[in-house]
Amino acid sequence: MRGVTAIFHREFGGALSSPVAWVVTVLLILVLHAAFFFLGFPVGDRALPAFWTGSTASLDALFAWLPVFFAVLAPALTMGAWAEERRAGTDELLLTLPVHTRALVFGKFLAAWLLLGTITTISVLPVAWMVASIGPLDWGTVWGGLLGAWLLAAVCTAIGLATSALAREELVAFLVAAVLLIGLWSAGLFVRVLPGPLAEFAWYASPALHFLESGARGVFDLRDLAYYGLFVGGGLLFNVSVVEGRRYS
Amino acid sequence: MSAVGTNGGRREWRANAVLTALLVLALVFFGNRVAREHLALKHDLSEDQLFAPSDVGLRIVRELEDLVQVRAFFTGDVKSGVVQIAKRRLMDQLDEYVEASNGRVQLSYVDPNESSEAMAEANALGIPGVPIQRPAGSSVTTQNVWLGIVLRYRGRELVLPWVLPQIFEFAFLGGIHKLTRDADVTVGFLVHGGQGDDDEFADVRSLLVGQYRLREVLDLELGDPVPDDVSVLVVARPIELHPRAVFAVDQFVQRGGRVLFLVDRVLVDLAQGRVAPVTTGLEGALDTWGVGVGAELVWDVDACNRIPMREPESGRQITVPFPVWPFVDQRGLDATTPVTAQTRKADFFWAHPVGAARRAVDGLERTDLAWSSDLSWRVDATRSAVLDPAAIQAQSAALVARGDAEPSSILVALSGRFPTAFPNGAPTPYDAVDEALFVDRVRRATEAGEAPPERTTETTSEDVLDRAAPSQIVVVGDADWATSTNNGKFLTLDNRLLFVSLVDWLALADDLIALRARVPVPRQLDDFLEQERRARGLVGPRTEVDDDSAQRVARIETEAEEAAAARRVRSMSIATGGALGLTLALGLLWRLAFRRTPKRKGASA
Repeated sequence: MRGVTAIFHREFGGALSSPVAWVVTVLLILVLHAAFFFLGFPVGDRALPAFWTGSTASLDALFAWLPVFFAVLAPALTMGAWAEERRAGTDELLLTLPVHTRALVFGKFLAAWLLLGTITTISVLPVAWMVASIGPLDWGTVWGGLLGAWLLAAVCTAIGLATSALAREELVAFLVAAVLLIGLWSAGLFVRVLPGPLAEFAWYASPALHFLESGARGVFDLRDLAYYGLFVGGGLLFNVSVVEGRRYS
Repeated sequence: MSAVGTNGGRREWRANAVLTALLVLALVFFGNRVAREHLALKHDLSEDQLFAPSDVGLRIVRELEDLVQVRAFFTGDVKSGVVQIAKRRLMDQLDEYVEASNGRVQLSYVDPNESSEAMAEANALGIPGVPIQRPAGSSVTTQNVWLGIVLRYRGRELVLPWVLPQIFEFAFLGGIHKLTRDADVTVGFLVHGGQGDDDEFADVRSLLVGQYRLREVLDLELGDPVPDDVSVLVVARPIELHPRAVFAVDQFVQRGGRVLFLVDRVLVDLAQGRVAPVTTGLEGALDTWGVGVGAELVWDVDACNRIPMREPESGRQITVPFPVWPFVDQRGLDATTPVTAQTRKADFFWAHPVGAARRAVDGLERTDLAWSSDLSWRVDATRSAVLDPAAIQAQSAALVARGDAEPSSILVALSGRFPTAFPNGAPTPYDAVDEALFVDRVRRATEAGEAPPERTTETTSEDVLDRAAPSQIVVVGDADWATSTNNGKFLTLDNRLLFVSLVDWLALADDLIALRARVPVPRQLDDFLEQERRARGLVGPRTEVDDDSAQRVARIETEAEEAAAARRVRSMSIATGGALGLTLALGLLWRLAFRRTPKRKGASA
């Protein structure tokens, strides 16, 4: 698609040139590592002890936190993608460029996804190396977990971008996306109280569970891939449709 | 101003956005439904391989000779969310095996909640409706849920009354394995002297119920042979077996029967602090086969379980390493034999070394399956019931100072054609009158202050088989590990797995071992504190004998704790510092690239 590379460079460069991405990265590393080493994951049926308490060479607690962090990080990284363009008035210029809307959306998506995926990899890999140096870490689960995290990041980014395209204000885009992602993440927490069919639906609808049940355990499941693909495809399609509507309306 | 700014345009745009959102959601929903039904490819990248069908499981269903009919009695509309999800997972797992079987596994579902006939059929098969509670507002509702499976193969039938995803694979494939086997395998139990009056081994027996037919082996001393239908005999904690009973076991081995011997040479009563020696009656036979269970105990300073004790001075309850409770982990398990290659750990309690006999035996192959750590000794059994931390520490310290540590085998397998232990003929069966007369002679000799008469064993003219058929025996220098004594604490999960794996191995059911061994590998972190203590020369329990030494040890303990804490901090710093360093490096790279790019652009312009 012509223009994707240019849009990607513009968005990715813009994100790295601003201090926000760096501050977010440092904060994520500090908070995620602190949670992993000292807190564990004390939520729901999947509660996990802190790393030193559990004394097990595993990154389960680290991966368990990722969906929660993505629910905040992805909206933070994508909230300005469209909303900021509209606020600054650059969207009209952007939309008059001889570039297809699909290229615009995909370029922005790629930039935000790559950024979120890179931040995640930077946060996870050094911990994995450290854990492997003091215990028999299963690297299969680490690579599976990272692959799953990238796919989950893609879903969160697509949802964040879609809400950014709808909202006029960055803050609104952030809040709507964060609430949506937290809602999807927490769906799995309510299966005990939901009636059977609804619980099953909530279970399968939650991207976090597709990640924690598969990728984070080192499992590659084609159904999860289809789930992520459909979510990302649907989110981008919606995004294209919204931007397209604005371009020609 | 663009059209978006107008009210009509904005309304239209919003309507389009909502419509698109609904269409996208519908697409995602139905797409996922289709994917869930039709995409079954799954690959487990992890080392433990716990979340995808195992290779051995797939092989079992692929190599089926005939159709296996699977009738799943599953409640259709499960009210409980958790059980509904469990049911969905079971259905996914069933689908995976049906898919892999190339049509040899046929699956059908029946909902007992739907019709009274289905419910009656389930009840008749012994599949119960399990009451499951679910919170509904301020109250709790209960629903009877069926999750049972019936397997049918060539007119044979096996019922799994209640399955859950966690146990599904073993239950399902183990069931198919049992159904497709040509005949039932019977495991015989000869406990103590064969009186059948002890239930110490009831728990391990129950572990075998699903796969094997079980029977008590009794009255061997009266002249009965080990029954013909027994394929594997478990001789559990034999005590003074009558020679005729030993002869029956010997002849069972000659006929190709396989035996698991769980041998104790002492009985320890911790409460009373007593140690009683045990004569098994098997000593001669085992010696003939080239193996001997020593009367000493394995004292393992490096790999031992802890025991709760009361500290003599303070009266505090503490747990201290108990070297006569050794454990064997993967360092001490033979990786070339299926039964131990898939075992991760075994806990023993007052284990005896299983050594070689005085002479080697031609035609028998010995495999040492489990052995103690390099820092272990053989010690006199009389000290094994002493529950005094200081005495244990002193004993360990003395042994470490002696420096002649060496591993001892605890679990040994022998295979080949076994020589008979009765080359001179079969001993006569037990006779109550003869026994009474003998006891009377002993009593009278004792009263007269004379040496008691020796028991003489007469022989019969029966034929004695010798090296008749190849066989296999396993000798374990401990029986406590398989008992349910000590409130079942000796029979740990690892020990349960080891026991059933040993029986599977002897019953030539290696597939079952592979299925049973599907448990997570323990991934313990290095114990920084223990490493630091060892680096400072501290081994065993943290107590000392006199006050001066106690102060010195306490100082070293504190040093070790501080060093361990420092290593933890260093590890965290490496992880977090590494991540921050990577971020900084990327930032610098980006800045360099960012500075160069505009210059090039400027030059070209």
